[in-house]
Amino acid sequence: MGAIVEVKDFSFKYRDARRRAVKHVNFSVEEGSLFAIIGANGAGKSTLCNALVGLIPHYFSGARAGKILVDGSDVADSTIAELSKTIGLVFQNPFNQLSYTAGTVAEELAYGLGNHGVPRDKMVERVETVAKLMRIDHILDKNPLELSGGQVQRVAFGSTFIMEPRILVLDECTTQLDPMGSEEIFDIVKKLNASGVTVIMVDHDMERVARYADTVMVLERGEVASIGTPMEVFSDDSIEQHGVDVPDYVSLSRALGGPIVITEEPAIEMAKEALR
Amino acid sequence: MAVKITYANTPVSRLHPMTKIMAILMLGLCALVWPDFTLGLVLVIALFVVSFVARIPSDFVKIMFGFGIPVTVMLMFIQGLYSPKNQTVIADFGFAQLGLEGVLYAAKIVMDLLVFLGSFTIMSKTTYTGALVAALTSAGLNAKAGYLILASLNVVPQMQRRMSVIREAQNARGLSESGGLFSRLAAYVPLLGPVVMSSLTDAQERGMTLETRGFGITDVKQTSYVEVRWRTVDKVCNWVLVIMAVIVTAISVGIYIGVIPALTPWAGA
Amino acid sequence: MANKAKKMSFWEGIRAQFSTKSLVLIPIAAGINLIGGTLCSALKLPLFLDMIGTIIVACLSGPWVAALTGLLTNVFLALVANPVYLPYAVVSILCGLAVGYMVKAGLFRKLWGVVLIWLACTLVNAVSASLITVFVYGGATGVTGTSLLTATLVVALRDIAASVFSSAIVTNLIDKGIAVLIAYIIVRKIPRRFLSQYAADGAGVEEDILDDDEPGEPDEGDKDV
Repeated sequence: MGAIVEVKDFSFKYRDARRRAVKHVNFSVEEGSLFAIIGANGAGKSTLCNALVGLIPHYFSGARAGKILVDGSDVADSTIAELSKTIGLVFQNPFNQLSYTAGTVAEELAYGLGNHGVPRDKMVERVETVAKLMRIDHILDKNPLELSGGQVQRVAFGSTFIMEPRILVLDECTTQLDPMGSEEIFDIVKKLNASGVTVIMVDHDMERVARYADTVMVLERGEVASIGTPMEVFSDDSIEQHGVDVPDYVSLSRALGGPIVITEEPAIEMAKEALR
Repeated sequence: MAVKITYANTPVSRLHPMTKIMAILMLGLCALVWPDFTLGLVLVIALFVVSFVARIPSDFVKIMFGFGIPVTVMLMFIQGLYSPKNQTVIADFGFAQLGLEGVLYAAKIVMDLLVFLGSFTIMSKTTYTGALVAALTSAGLNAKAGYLILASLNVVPQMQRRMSVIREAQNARGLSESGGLFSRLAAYVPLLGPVVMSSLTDAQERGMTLETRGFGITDVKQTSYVEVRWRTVDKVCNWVLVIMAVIVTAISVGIYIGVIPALTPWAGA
Repeated sequence: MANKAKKMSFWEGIRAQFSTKSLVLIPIAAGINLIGGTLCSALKLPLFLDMIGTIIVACLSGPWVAALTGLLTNVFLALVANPVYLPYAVVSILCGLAVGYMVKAGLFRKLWGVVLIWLACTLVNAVSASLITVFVYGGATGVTGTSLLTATLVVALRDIAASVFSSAIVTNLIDKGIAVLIAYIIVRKIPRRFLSQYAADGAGVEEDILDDDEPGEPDEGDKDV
């Protein structure tokens, strides 16, 4: 296991923007790990996600510096389509992740494969596998535009994952969903991560980040403000000054005056201890 | 709500989309080259029969008569009374004379148009657009052109829904849609503007989605999940259509150059 | 980038307009054309206003994308509503090209330029639509209100082509004037941040002067992409 994603001194300024969206960002992601990016709105999280999958510089124009290596090669030298076989992106708005070419969920899932010229029999096979994994095999004949947000997000997830990427970039992919839809998506993420897929996710649910992330990176105004294990990052007293929330358990353990805890179970233990 | 169009399983809907496109072109060609309206009339009657087989008679009748009746009235009026070709007067209305040549010309145009309109209507009402585009793409249509056709069919109903949501919201906020011409015109921008803005913002993310799904790939022959079958009946239909077009064209040319006598006294005029 | 754009050949210039970013705009712009028309009948306005999307896309992505938007609008109408609209695709294409090239020449930034676009649009529309009405449909389609005006004029003028043309000019002058005005208002409201992403392959947007909020930071390493 080594670093599968390496970001080296990366800066980017959108065309006509007044300031840089990200500045001198450095980090690397271990293969198979779950890497969380947190930060306030406008901190540059989405810009970073777009850069990881090659949308910067191949789709958004602007000025950039530094390098992003995915699986050893520079994203700037590849194409978005080629990169999608290694690194996939799922973002916030489910309905903007539909191709608008499909009359059914099955066609939607197969759209990317069709563009890559995958033969139909193999397509059908992959659609079935992914549909089962995303728990959308019962709606394969439905029109994607008539589904709920949570269902569409699972379709979008499936359409990305059907390319069999080894890395998934999730840019607030559960933010617009209700708690149940959000949980369903994250269950799939956990399952994929456990099967060896590297996950890089932007998330506002700090309890989730604290519990599941191997590494947390805090972005503030385009710069890395803090990076480390969830315990390292959240136990820093000044972390909230960088515009991020902390898990409720952190506030609780601070109030109780004991050692900092970031997840549910030790917090319960601590509360029991305090009540005794 | 998006309109979910279901296609009745009929001999017409089972035809390969390219066969139906071939039919539009060949039948249209036959009607066009034939010197008078008679062949067009025969084809239109045949198309009505096909519409029954395809189980779309009500839609078909609506479109054919909705177009056919007003256009016939207008053209009979315009061409029948005022065509410069008019020589033989068949009726005198005082303010103008109805000329035979104009009437025949109008009848020919109406029939030609109805053949195109009718065959196109049957094609569009019995063919799943996904299958149509898949067939066109495998016949060499650019994948991006295919995207444009499918995306418009999906995006436009979604924008219409969004528009009705905005209308409700703006009405609730007191925007008046009634009153004089100018106050109604003034309501136009607050209603259209938000749909335009939100759609443009969405466009950027939809472009991102397409890019990550391999939309930009040019050196690969695209494949499709939608299966279109080319069966023996398609082969037969295509041959029949082509042979018919060749025969009709040959006879028409014969009539024009005078080798074959006109079948009707007014033909070739 | 700006210099490079000028050196592009005609065909390269057209190809550059068809980036994915521009292509996704086309169905949306066709949608704007169509709901613009629908809204007119909903508000009982005696207008069509069915090329607002074409004008907006002409400003964002250039003449050929606008032309394609026009074509697609008519293909949609033909497939969904009535095939009668298909031949008029030629009109929509020509209008898209006319508006697109005039916007590219910078006319959308000046008031007299906007007036010029309006007049050009009216003329192109009236001439091409009349030609199609006369040569494809023999004088009238019977599905639009214009047909009645045409019939009245035929009685008065006793000349089919001239009548079709004059009725087209009158209706177009009003309709395109309002459409250009509305498109102008909407384009003014589009955020600059959004417009600039299209500036590389589009037209009608001025180059912005970039100023970094942190002058202490070196910019030399930046590659323009």
